[in-house]
Amino acid sequence: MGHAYRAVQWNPFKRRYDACAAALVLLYLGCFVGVTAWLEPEATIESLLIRGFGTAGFLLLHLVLSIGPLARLDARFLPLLYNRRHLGVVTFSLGLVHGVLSLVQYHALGVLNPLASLFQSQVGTRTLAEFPFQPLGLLALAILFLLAATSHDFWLANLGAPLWKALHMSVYVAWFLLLMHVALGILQAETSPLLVALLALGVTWILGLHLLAAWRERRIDSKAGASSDWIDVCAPAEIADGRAKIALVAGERVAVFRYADKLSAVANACQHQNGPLGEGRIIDGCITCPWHGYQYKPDCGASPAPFTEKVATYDVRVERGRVLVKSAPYAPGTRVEPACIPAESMPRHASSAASEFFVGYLPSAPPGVLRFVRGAALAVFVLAAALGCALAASQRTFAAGRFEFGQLRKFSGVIALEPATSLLLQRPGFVGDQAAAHSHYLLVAPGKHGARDLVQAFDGRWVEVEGTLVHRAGQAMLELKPGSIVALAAPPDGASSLAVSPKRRALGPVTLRGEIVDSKCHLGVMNPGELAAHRACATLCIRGGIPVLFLARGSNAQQRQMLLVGSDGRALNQEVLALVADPVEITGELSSWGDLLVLAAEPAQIRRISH
Amino acid sequence: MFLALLLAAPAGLWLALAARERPARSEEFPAALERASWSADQALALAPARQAHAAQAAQSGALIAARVKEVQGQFVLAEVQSPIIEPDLLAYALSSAPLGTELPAGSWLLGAIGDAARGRCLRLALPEAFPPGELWLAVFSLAHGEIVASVHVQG
Repeated sequence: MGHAYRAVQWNPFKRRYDACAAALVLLYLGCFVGVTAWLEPEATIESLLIRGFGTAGFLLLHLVLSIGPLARLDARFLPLLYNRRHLGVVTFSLGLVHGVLSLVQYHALGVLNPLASLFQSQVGTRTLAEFPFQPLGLLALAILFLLAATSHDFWLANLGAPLWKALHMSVYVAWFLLLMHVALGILQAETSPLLVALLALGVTWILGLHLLAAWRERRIDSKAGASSDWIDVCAPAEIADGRAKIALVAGERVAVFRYADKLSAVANACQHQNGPLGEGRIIDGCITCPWHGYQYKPDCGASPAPFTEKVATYDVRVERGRVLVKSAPYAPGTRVEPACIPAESMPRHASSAASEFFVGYLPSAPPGVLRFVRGAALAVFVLAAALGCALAASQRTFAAGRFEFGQLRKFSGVIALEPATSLLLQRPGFVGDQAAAHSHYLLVAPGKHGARDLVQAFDGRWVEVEGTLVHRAGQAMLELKPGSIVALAAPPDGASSLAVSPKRRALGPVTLRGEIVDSKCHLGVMNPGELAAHRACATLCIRGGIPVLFLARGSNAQQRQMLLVGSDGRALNQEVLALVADPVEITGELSSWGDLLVLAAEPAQIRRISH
Repeated sequence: MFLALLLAAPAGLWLALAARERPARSEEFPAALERASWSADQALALAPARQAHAAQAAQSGALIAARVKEVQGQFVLAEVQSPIIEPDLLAYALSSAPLGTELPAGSWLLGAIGDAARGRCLRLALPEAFPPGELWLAVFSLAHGEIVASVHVQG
């Protein structure tokens, strides 16, 4: 309890609680990132962190949503409820890291403002599978931010418990949005049945717990007495000493407390967070809320000074061996004379009210409660480690693409603008026909930009360039270091006179199925850099002039990547945006330009396939 | 409202999962595409001419660490510490002396990767007599003709 503003009212239990929460998150992240890095050495650190923080936040949200109904069903879970708000703030923080990393990774450094990109990059929405899932995540994050920002008692006191509570119920909206964010995002690409099963299990768990708790609450309300001025609650002997019986009185829950031979009735909802006072205890002569230990005097419903919370009070009387409560409440804080229990109505033997009761701010917790909480925490830790490993192992295999980030290399070659902006490198020690004399290294600028503007002035000339290599499955790309292009007057020593451009060799018409991807991400800058979850990023890259690749897929996991251009050789970047990452069939003319495969087709020859 | 959302969650999840699309696949790749593939013969034909480059790379210290994981008859499975650029088509030279000093004629061989997806293990065919002690390798990507790594293997 607090009567003045303090950032956090720390106590030893809260410190232990937060330390456990931090350890839990670190354990999960360690397992997820460690196992993924071990199983998938080609996975990029950005992907690991984005996925790790995202899944950690989503799983933690499930834990946060579970604590409430668990505590309703079994009071031994109440210690987990005591500091639940901190778990909520941690959930938001994990989501924020996930969101910021995703925004930077997938939407920054392009031709659009990152936030504009987030809403615009997913161009086509013809099927549910193409639904832009990222804005759903952003909206959920905004809700979680609102909840984290207002989680402090300062806001609770200023907004009032009912409004604050209603506001914080929007966590269910955030949960639903995140569920759809996951199902319409990463699960459109990931194929492991375990991931689907875990998500469905999470939904079933949350739904089942809440329905069960709601059913239990409804049972309490169904015991409402007949409507009259005085409501029959129970016999005095049914109320244990220091505890309460909850009754529905004129539609409101009322807690009738017995302390020694006296009875007092107050509204059941705690003014702090609407906690069930009737499930609390009389401690130090005060009704003590089971959620956060807020206290009220039983006869007047007012918190002891200097605290100012007040709840409504009710008249109570004992008549013919029954406890009766008057249906009309008094204003909060009004003193009502407690009813005395006649000697003949007192319980004949000591009540069993000695069960343990947890109050977070007391120096020590009851041993039984402590044992239970330790066991529950251990179970959560084991579950977190198991889920971290299972989720990591269930991911689609990352491709053997690589981005040599931070490693600059120098290359000498000839700039070619057709069929795509490339650097032609003479193959060392080459012997053979001219068609295999050089390698095409596709050229791009840093970020999500093509390199045509940077190299246009050097078309057909020998240059020396510096950049970072990206490579996958026989295709290399160079991310140019801006300002590093130097024109050479003559081929470097040892280089033979290189044919300026390899001859195009027609391979005939083909019809192929696969996916349109942006070459930079696909070759290794993002890993994975394909399928629906990567659609928005690929669209932004292609919009920015990154060469368009078609990834042809065959049976038995065969894949071949080829440059996709128009039938007249033009870049199709702006014409295929709505088809990026979709399952498509393309009919066109296949040709080879040295080592580079090129598929020439018009947008009308690209057909979206529906399964 | 929260109960409505809870109840809508399974329906939303089911709809989203039912909407999942499989990646489009061709039954088989057309012959034109197969013709465009590099063949092992082409790669092998290119390999001997790269001997000079192997020597040059070795002299410049372009070595990456590797260790022999397994020797199975004529084959050695070597695990390299860094990913290699081209996991599909490699040529390598074997020598019992450090690269740059000697590469016996005819030492070029084609190599296959044990686990292409991982790109870290090389399965190497040994010459008739496995040289005792240290074994030196030069590994090349054949798709682009660059030197990928010179690998110093502890025999």
